[in-house]
Amino acid sequence: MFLLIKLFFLKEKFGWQAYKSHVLGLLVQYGRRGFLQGKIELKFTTASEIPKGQGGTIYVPGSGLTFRDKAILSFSETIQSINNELIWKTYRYHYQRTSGYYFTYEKESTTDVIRKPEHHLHVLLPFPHFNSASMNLENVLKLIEVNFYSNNTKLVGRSIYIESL
Amino acid sequence: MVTVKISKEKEIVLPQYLGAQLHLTDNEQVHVFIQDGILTLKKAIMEQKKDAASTDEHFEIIEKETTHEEIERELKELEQKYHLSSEEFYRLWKEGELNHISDAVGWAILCKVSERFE
Repeated sequence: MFLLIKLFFLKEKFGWQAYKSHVLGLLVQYGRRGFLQGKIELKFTTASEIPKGQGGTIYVPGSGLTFRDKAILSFSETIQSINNELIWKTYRYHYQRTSGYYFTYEKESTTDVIRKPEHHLHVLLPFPHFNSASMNLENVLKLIEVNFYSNNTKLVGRSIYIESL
Repeated sequence: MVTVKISKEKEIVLPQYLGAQLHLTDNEQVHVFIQDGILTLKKAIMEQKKDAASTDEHFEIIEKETTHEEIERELKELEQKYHLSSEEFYRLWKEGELNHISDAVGWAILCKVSERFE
């Protein structure tokens, strides 16, 4: 009995419901700290390839999250919990500043791992697909915070000249 | 107003959730001010989450379960608005076109979560 109770809590700790609460807490934290503004509709839905209760998709419709400087982060994550481990089946994190500067971390299926690695990054243009580490919402928010909203950032305010293709 | 003392080992968790209402005193105890009497740490966090979701005029979170039927309906509305199929939009958008459309980011995320594009 004790073992069953312990297993239940372990499962919950790393399960889909726990992750949903984690994302909510994360957004509350960034809102409370003054990074995010406005009304956020955090949506959850099922994914056909994932058994019910073991995962699903999280996304924010429309432009996504709005930062205090009106930059946006549009995101979706499709996640499955397998043996108490969360697996990101697909994800997309698109951060865009009002100037038009953007980057997108994405995980997609691929048939050409050189031209389009499974985990990839776009910066300013849809091509190329730069190979990247596996990302998640928490890491992307931290990356945005330190690069665009910390006191020692060296990115914000810079001009970048892009040669037309 | 009642002062609630929470043990020191919980301090790492508290600043993330309690923000401006957290006060650290000289003896390094955490004091959280709650109007309804003594609350546990967990309840205190929930109280703050509820507050963040409902009363902050600059920041609000609404959780909602949705269905793929609802996603399809939203896709169809965009298709009718722009006289363009979502398949064609997604193809062009991934090539860097159509960024001028104001709904492009929202349309793209719907395409990403739609099971139509698997």
